[in-house]
Amino acid sequence: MDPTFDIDGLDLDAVAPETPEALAQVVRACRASGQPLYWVGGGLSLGAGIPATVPGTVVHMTSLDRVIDYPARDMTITVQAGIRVSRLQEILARERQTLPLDIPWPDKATLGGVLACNVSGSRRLAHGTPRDFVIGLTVVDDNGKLTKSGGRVVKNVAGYDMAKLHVGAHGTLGPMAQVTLKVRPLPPVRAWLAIPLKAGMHEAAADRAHGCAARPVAFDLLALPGGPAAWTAMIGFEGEAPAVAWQVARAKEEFRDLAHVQIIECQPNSVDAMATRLAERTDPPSGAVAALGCLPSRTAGLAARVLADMPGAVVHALPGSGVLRAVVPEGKDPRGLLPGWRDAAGPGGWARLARAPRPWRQADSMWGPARPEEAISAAIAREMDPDRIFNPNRMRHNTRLTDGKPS
Amino acid sequence: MTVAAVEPSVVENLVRRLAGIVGADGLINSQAELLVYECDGYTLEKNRPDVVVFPTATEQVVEIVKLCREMRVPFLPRGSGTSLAGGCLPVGGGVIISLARMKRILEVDLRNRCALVEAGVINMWLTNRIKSEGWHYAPDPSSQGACTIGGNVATNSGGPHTLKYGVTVNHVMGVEIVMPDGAVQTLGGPVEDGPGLDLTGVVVGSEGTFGVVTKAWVRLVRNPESVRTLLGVFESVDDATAAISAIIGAGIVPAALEMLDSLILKAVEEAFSFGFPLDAGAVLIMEVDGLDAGLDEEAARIEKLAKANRAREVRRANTEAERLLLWKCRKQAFGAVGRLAPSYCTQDGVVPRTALPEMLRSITAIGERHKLRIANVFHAGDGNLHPILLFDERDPDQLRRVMEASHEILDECLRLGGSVTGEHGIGVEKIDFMSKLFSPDDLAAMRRVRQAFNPDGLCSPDKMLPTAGACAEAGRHKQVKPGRRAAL
Repeated sequence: MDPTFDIDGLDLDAVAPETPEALAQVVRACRASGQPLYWVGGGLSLGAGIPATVPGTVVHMTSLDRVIDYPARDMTITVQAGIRVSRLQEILARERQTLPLDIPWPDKATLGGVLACNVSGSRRLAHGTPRDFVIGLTVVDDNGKLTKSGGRVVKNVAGYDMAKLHVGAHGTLGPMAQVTLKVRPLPPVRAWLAIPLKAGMHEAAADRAHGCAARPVAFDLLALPGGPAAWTAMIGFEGEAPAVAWQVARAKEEFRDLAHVQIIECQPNSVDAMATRLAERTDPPSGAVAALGCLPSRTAGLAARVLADMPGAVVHALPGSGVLRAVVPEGKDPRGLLPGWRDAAGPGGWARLARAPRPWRQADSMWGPARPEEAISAAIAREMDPDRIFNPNRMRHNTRLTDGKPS
Repeated sequence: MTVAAVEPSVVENLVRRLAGIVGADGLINSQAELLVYECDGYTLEKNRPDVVVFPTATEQVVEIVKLCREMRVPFLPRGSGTSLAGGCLPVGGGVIISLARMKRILEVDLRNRCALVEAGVINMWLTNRIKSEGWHYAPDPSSQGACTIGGNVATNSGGPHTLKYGVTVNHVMGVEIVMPDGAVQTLGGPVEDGPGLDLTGVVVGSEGTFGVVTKAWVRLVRNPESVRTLLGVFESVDDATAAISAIIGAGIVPAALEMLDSLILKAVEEAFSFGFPLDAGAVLIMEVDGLDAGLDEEAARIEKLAKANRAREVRRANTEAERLLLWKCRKQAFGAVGRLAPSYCTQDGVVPRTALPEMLRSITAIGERHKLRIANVFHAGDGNLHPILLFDERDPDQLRRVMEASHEILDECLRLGGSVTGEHGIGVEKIDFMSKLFSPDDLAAMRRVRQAFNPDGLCSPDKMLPTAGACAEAGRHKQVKPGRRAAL
């Protein structure tokens, strides 16, 4: 591992602790000197959030990759947070189990990174997002102490659910050392249909998916430049063979009149790879990606608006959940489009850049306009990281000025 | 913080000013009426509040909270008072803010799969409102005919069908909360993944210690197309728990997997005349749901696994009426327990599913050691046990043995790698267990979060987290357990 690492143009010393205790020791040392810590897992989200400005130490999390306990018949697994997603899935697959989040770049992505950045994908419609799988969590606090919450049983309400705060916190409340997940059985059969839609039929397709007799685990709208249609609907099913076969037949029937050309059925053995590839199309390793949220009923319309504003963009919308992502075409600065997208997203809607080149990463473009409840987040950050040593400035609640002082 | 009792002169002034906010018919303060509010479904500890107020709108909650803060009087929210852990017990007295009159379903939006409800809406009302359209609200605690969604949010309630569908936190998208300083905050909402921390997620299950939740956006779920409900009859609890392990181990996620032992069977049979075999050691209610296609095959797999684990017979609920009666027996089992003993205490331990056989043997041994009858009816698929300890509260010796046996059961759950509460919450009952489950550093981290929401500690004091150092100090017990003193 290189002795230094670049974070937002800062050339920083890097360490790679191999045990949770060693991670805690790193935190203690940096707390004493007031030096910031920047966690790096697979290095896939370095362009997320507000850029780092205060020099500190990079902590590579990938050496923390042990499996601590896997009682497969309890359908839980306890692992260190730096484990790569592909390795975790391999271990689970041996017991015919899985973590049903469609994670892009699984060979690189770490579990901790997925949780910190709250990465989810197509099947969130059926299975939820990372917050729904974490049942126990150990993090290092700002005093360098290992603190745990939750436990190793699937149902547990003892104590505050601290994991909810850490999932999506981008490491601003401390690094995750160890995670206990509840996992699911691998579905016996999976199937995906790709339906290139007739022009203007994307909203009708989303409405139909909402009420269709089949119960898809995923329903996506995808715009790919150069594809056979402006929008392709992707529908995923999983379960016992008879149920999947019935749904595939039923969906073909229900969506036939919306199809521009023949409905394509993916080969069963390529479904996993296809779902991952789909996730990767809107999560390229570099460049800018916009993310938006709205009510499910508005998703298809909002997706079309984004595509109209950025011709040639790859747009991936999940109308069942009301979230979408768009890869910004090269040379296009999307920041000026965000306010219009927020309006179009309607009440409660949001639009931001999930990742972007450094000059575009202002607080507003990355997190949207400030909201009143951020006062609570700031109070939590003040309590949990008063000196702002955890990934300072990444989110608005843990601002730290260049002179090192918390603000 | 640990609170002291409110001075009588302060109470008088408080009541007068509260009446100014909610009107004279919006509060109660006579000692007789307050008796109802001295405990909840957990009756071993009691303490009377000084006054109970019934706001009808968020604005009134704001005024009440601000007044309590100004007068330095503790306050806590209460739904229907069905907590089985003393979650609604007003430690140190003060003001109970009952959400019972905030009971409107404000919005139902099936196209967007969500509803906005006031905190006092009864859980079942929401499903009743939408069931004719083929939808439901998934968290279904057994008390769902009485408990409020606000209360469910406080304790992160579960229920039989959470095995497949998840617990309350998986279905709450946002809340409106009156913060302990009187500010109203909207956290989350019907649009998912809003930027920033998941504050909704940490408020769910915070047992009213972060503020008063006044509204919630909840997720609605389409009804399954079809359901198959089976009843497995076993000679012994051991066989039934082995079957549970086999079903889960085979990669089947049933919609529900519930166990009733022979003692509880007797009580529910007397109450509902379902036709349970009274000579059985235990029965399992096993339910699968989903699309009709393939569901019979799945039910057949379960039946085969049950029989492979020595099920004497596996019956099928042939009609919807039969199925509903079976679920009525399960959900109202606690009520039927009244036929077995004058009082009972329900525990809420959790163990890894594979440890269920060992745990149930331990419960039997603990019951025998303390000469107590213990009935079991519980969410077997989740490993979430509800041993019901039967006693007569007029007998102080029985009360003492119930307390001791309860603690031994929970200690055994911990020894097997589990938890002391799966869905009822810590309340006041299990506060001493927090330092067994968590280290001082773990608790300090949780205390920091509470500090961020509730810095002066007036909102739901002495709940969830033990007062730092309480265990070590002699004489502290009285302050931390005022209710227990009252009950004993």
